[in-house]
Amino acid sequence: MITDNQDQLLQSVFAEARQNLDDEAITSRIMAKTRRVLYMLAAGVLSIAVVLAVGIWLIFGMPLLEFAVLISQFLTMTLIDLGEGWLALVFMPVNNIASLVVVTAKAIHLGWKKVLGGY
Amino acid sequence: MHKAQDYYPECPEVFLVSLARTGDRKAFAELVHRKQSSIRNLMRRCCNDYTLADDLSQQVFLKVWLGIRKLREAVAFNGWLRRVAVSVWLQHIRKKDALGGAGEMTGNELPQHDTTGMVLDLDRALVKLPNQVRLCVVLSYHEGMSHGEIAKLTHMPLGTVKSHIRNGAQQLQQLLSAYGNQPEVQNT
Repeated sequence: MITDNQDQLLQSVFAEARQNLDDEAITSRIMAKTRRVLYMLAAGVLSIAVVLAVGIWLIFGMPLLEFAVLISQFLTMTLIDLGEGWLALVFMPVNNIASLVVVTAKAIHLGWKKVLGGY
Repeated sequence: MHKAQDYYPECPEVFLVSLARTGDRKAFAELVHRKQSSIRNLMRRCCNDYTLADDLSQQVFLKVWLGIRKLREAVAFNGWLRRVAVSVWLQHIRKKDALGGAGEMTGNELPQHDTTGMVLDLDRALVKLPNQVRLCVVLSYHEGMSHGEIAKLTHMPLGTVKSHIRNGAQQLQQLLSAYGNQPEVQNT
């Protein structure tokens, strides 16, 4: 069984051993490693993105393009037919399905925030 | 004209941690500068090889840099840093065990410079303890952690931690008994 005095002795020996070690360039070595890791991560992400983009383009390139054209045509469809006069030109930016989608999304977002108390 | 980063050495730690969480490398470098000594001391007591201790400390700070964005509260930084340090040490032990004790320290690797006799004697005494016992003793006496905190940190049962600390302290006390007669140690 270890006594209080012996316990204090150990504590004082450990306290004595706790040295204030100077930097010895360890900080710069660590920071150099962090920089290297960041570059490696960025290079990895970029490589994966390029490979994925090329792969997707090769496999789905044309169908994707056709799909994008269809979507853009759908989103720019007018909501109310205002003819071809100046009124149609003025309301053109908001008189389409895309603006309706944006307004609906914003309303849902605001309603959600209201329900969850700002979170 | 002074840059904001010129004031980092005088900044409170919590502020630096918050900045580091946003990816500020200069703030992180200041944190490393402030904390390297305590982490290296902890690793030196654990592994008794000062070169290895520095390598493991670098691993600790690298893990901290990669994970600091996930740290929820800046005030929890010190405890988290210690947890990362202990997990790096435990991983090292497991790897060493998997290699069949390759690289097991005998105490001969301890450097003969830049340390006092007492530090060398302590490290030589610590090296004689089994890894898990040494870790518990170091966390208790060097880091000042409670038995419960050590059990939580190392995932060991509380009873095991208590018995490791009791046995380790007894062995250390025998190995370091010479210092019991020195007045400067008794008075510190």
